[in-house]
Amino acid sequence: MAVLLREPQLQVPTQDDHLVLAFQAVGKTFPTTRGPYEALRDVWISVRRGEFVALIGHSGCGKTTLLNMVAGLDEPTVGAISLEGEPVQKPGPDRAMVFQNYSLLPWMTARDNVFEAVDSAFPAYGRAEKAEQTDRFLELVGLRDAAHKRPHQLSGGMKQRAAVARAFAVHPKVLLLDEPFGALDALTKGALHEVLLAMWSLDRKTETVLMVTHDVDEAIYLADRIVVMTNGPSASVGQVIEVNLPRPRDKRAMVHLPAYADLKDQLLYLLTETYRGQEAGE
Amino acid sequence: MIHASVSLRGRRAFGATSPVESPRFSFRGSALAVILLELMVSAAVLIGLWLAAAAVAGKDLPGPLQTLGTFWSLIVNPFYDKGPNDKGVGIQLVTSLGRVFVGFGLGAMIAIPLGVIMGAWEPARKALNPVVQILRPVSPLAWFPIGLAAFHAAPTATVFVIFITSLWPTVINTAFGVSSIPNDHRQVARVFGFSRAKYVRKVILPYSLPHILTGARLSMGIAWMVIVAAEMLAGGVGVGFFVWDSWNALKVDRILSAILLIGIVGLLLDRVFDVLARRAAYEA
Repeated sequence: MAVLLREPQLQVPTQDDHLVLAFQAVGKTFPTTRGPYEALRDVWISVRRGEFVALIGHSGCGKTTLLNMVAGLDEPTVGAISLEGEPVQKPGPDRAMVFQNYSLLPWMTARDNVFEAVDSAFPAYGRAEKAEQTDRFLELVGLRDAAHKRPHQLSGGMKQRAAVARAFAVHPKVLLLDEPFGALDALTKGALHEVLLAMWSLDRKTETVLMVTHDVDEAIYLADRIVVMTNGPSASVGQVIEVNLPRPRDKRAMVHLPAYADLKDQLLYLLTETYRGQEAGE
Repeated sequence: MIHASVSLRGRRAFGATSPVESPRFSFRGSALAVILLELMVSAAVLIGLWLAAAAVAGKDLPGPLQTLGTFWSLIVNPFYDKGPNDKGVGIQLVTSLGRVFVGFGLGAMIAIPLGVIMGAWEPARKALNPVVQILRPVSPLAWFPIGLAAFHAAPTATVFVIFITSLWPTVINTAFGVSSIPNDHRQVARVFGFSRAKYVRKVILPYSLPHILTGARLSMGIAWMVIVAAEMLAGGVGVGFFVWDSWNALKVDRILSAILLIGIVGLLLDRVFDVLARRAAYEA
């Protein structure tokens, strides 16, 4: 069973083969003009192979900072993040990310956006293998017919499909999702959830997912565990909730399960009462 | 040979024929009629100003009709060559354009990489920016003697002046474009592990290409203006020499025709860069 580490002192790295990602006493302080701002303090999270973990919390709780630190785009001020026992030092395709704003390169077709990532991630592949890998993942997200289009010709949902294809196509050890569907309408979002889960269960090379979200339903539908963050400044892990709903999950049937209602109730209580947003009435 | 003595006989009225503003072309609806109307209006304005200037200046300034006659006689037989002091206007133009392209091309080969380095790497920007800022406002013609000293040949010195002139707008615009790459694009390149070469070819260059072309367009515009002045100093052959030679022969109608021709060629050059810039543009 997945265990959350929250002991006050630093631990010897676990000899657990199943442990993929570990945050150990991670803290982040940003220098500002009004002095240092401690965004995160003493964060302990461990993610096992094959787990889908959602990070949820109010804006400004440092969720995205946590994700960026895993990606290597940002560094912890204290503590360490390790991937398969090795400390994270710089960005790399073994921690591919799906960004909130898609972040496709606008001068390239959807296909080229995926291809360039594949090309970087697998230097040993031949050109034909790279092309095949690219086309396979575009097909999996349902973008085969729109592959030659540039991002401005694609809808938000299609752009994010391309970004999902790009991230899965490089076979990351941990897939990082930074509020990937936050800008999409409900129907598109639902379709993308299906795509994401299909890819996750199909592609055995990308088993572990860490996702930042502020959508309670999305977190319950997708995740095995939900890490609820306390509010910033000095945000940390508040509570970890196991989502023991059987897979594959059916979005419509699921909402009638008592376990679902309990989880949602628990999460909403945590987010609205225990770790309330700073804005009054939130 | 070098025409060093410059006697100025002020003819302010000459300014009236300077840059013809290009109408903004838009191929929509009955756009052609609009374009024709705009062209007619601007031609009428130009000729009106010209007639007014000719009335003030008297016989010294040829009117539009006389000039158009000269203009026609110059362009019907552009490539005749009757010795060093009597060549067709086509030969003069081609020579000037050749110098501009060589100088501009060499300049771009230096300016674009320099701009990329300055835009991408803070220490390089800090080290090179003062140099650029000091050299940029220097009149291109001030470099002419340096070119002569270095190359001992007026035509080469002319190309050198164009080269120096072409550098600055391209360097500055390229550096600006490269330094303004959005963080999103940079993060994509980092997260997906783009190599340095891939980052330059697939992110930096496509992102900053519109900026580079804006710089190149400005550089080309300045180069085309400077070539006339530089060739007045250099002599020999070229549109600048043609203008100066016509002045020495007191053929003002030829000067006005040359000005018209220089303006038209400059406009066409500008259009070419406009088309290139549209090709390079992408929608974010």
